Amino acid sequence: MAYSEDAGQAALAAIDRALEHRPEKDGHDFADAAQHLAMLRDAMTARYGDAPPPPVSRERLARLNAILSVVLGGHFPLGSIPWHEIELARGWLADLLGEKAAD
Amino acid sequence: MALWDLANSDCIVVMGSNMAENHPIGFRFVVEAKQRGATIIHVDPRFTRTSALADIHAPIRSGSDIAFLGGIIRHILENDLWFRDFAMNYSNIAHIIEDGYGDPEQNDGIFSGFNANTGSYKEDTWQYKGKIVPSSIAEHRVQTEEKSEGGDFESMTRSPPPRDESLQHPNCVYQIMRRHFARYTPEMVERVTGCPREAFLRVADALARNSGRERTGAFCYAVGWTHHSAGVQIIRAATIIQGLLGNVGRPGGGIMALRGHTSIQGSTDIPTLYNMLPTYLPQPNVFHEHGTFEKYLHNETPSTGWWNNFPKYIVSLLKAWYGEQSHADNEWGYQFIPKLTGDASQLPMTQAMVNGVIKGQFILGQNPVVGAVNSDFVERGLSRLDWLVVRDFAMTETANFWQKGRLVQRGELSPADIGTEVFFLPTALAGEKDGSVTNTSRLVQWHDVVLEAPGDSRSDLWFIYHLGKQLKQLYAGSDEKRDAAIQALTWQYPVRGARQEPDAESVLREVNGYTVADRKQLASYQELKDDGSTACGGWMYTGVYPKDGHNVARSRKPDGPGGPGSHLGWAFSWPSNRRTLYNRASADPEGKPWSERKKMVWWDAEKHEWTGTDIPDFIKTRPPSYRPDWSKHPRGMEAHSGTDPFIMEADGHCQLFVPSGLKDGPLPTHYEPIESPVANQLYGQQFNPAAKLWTRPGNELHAPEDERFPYVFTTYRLTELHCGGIVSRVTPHTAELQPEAFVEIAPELATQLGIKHLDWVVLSTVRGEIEARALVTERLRPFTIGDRTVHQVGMPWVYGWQGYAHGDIANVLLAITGDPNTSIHSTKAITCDLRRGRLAHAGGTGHGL
Repeated sequence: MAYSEDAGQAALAAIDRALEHRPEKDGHDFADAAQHLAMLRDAMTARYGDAPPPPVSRERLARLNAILSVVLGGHFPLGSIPWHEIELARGWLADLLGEKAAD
Repeated sequence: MALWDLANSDCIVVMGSNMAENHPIGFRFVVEAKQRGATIIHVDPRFTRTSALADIHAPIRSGSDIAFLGGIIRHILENDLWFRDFAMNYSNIAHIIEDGYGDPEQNDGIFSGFNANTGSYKEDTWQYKGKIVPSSIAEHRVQTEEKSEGGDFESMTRSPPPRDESLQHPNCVYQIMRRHFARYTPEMVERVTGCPREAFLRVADALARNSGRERTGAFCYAVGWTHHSAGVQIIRAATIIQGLLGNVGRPGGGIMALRGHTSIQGSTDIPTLYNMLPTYLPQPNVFHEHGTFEKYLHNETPSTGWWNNFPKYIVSLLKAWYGEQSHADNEWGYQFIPKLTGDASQLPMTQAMVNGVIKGQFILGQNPVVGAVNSDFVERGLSRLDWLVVRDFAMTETANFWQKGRLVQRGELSPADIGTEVFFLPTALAGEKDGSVTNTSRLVQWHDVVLEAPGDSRSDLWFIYHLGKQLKQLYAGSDEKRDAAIQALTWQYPVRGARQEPDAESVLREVNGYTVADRKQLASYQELKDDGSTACGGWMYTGVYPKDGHNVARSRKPDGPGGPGSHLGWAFSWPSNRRTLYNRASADPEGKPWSERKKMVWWDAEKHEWTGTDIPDFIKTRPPSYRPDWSKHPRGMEAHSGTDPFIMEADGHCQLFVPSGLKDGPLPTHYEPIESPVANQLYGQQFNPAAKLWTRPGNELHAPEDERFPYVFTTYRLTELHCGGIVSRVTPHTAELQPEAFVEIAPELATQLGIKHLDWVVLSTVRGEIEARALVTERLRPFTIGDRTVHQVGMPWVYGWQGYAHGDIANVLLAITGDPNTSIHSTKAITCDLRRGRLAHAGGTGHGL
């Protein structure tokens, strides 16, 4: 659990750094964020092994994948970096981590 | 143009390709043209067999192509050698560009609209004055800033773009081009490319001399153009030359993109690409106004030109994919289509693998450990996967990287550390399956199965079909929204035999299209509708299977010696079995052939229709005299006149200047490669400012003029070893012809470094080191660039550790970077170091021999 929380917080911090450096694109922050989001996802799925996760976890995994997709859009943008959506994704991640901490 | 149409050319420039060795089948038509008196030119750093068969060999340093082609453009403009009647009527040479347009001549290598923070452009100032021009290239439209949201494609329906027929307006395309290319003089071409000015002028004059009413010329290129950080703009430079000289849509005229694999063209048409739906329809993007089908159509449908038909094609595609689950009440199933968030091409996804984001990968018909750039980085990515499926007919480096890879050999990884579960599945060879291949001429040719594949080998079609069935079964009971697309997918194809091989022709019938009500095959894409009554897997292919039992791709009726030479009875060329696109341009504005010698299609006033030796690429009954009624705000093809051959463009004109769709500028501009031993002599901007760079540990770049890496390095293929090499490296007969890796070195450089022919040498970059045998050869010559000597070395990229012919992987040396428009990597011009010796881990001492 601690491992996943660490990864989540590290991802949040990396997104914050990317937003802070805006409008300059900083690939390292986005790479860092993607890496830690992937670690968080691994930790969430590892809890259940081969068994299907309960609905609440499936829903959180889906939200995490959405966050990851947006961060990849910042890391590998098609045209402009979607800063507004990156901000939204940052909020989604903060909410997700808050819910997990409350569990 | 058709490959065989090269025989009708009066001048052929092969550039960015060693066509004689790597495209020998197509090269026969170059030889035929030469026998008919054509001038053959090879522009290439090496003197190859192509050069040996050419009349002129013009050597240029790798990566300096735009300087060379820009020099030709300047030569044509300044000496008034352009085909005026053609370019004035059919191109945008007289169009007036927005007042705010700024050229690299004013901004030291940067166009107006550049954002230095993001390395990207906005196109507002590149537009035709008062207009917002939609790009005709769907993949580019999706990737660039959305203009229709803040702008107005409807502006194209209100009036034609403003023009100055006198060509005196300072912002008309002609004047902009003259200013833009003014400094691309023969002297500058020599200083930048290393090509002697006399050789350059011979090429420019030969091209110009062989154009006009009576004569035409063609360019042939391969990945020697595309694999650069400005690859798209190199091709653009050739299109400007051809547009100025009238070498488009005419017999023997055009630009031939030589494709490296059997059906690479087919895999672009019915794409394995992430950013296009079949036959060049735009993939929705979640960050654009694509949230609903209505908005997607609104933003992606050009108001004028042929692409105005886009709704018919996308609705028919959705009907083909989702059948009864596609209807007006659910936006025709539009929400089943995944939406892009970013660049999901191979290079970014390799990085995503290293980051642990991607968990599994299918590899079909590829060998990325050999063929992709920065091979060690690719291995690191593969080692992070949970699972990897490789389908090939022999073991590949990609499938056994975990056991024999470079990282394992060097001790950086051990098989025990690699968690990737690898599934290696044997495939059927070409003769063991039926199906179609689409070649470089858009020619769809059918082939039949000859014998059954041995053992567990299966066709890729078999694999994909049965994988799809398994997935549908897996998700059949799911109530998750994201699984609905798989549930809705139509996946019913007849199968045959005990192996349950899908019927490939049934797939082609679906791609062709049919009426939904009675499943009747469609004969032409003009029959497609946007009301759900037709289904079609790829609108450009409609006509390949026009009725039951008639697979046109099987046709094998060549024209006889008496002509006409378009060979309309041989297979099927999309669209409409047309051999030459934009062939309305083969007639003058009045509809008469430019000359008897170069006639192709023309207006038959008596029959009131276009006719000729090819299928006309125009509205069949639209007379040359037709003019749009601008008071009615014409849409689609109604906005094009009878003299507008370029029907896919919003205004029907050949775009010498591109107002929309390119991410690195409306005109080609010389930049040095990202890694170069010399400074850019034309601008302060060293390399393409919009190039995709992903500098990170393991993928560092050399700074310009880095003295540690003083040599230009390029890669290429060999006749004897095909592409990634496996198919021919495991075959003794071909492997023994090129038994081991080598690097070509000019004698002058070899002497300087104390290297003798067949010595071992080490090549290095910050990405990695490899060793190979030295091939000291005068095929490579030192270049004089500016005031200094620059050496270039070259190496085939086809070797690996599998098969009978071994060798280090050249792509170890390369970096992951991308052309801004295509994300294609740079393999043709990087920098490296070279020394005599061997690598210690490869069995040598690391120093001596």
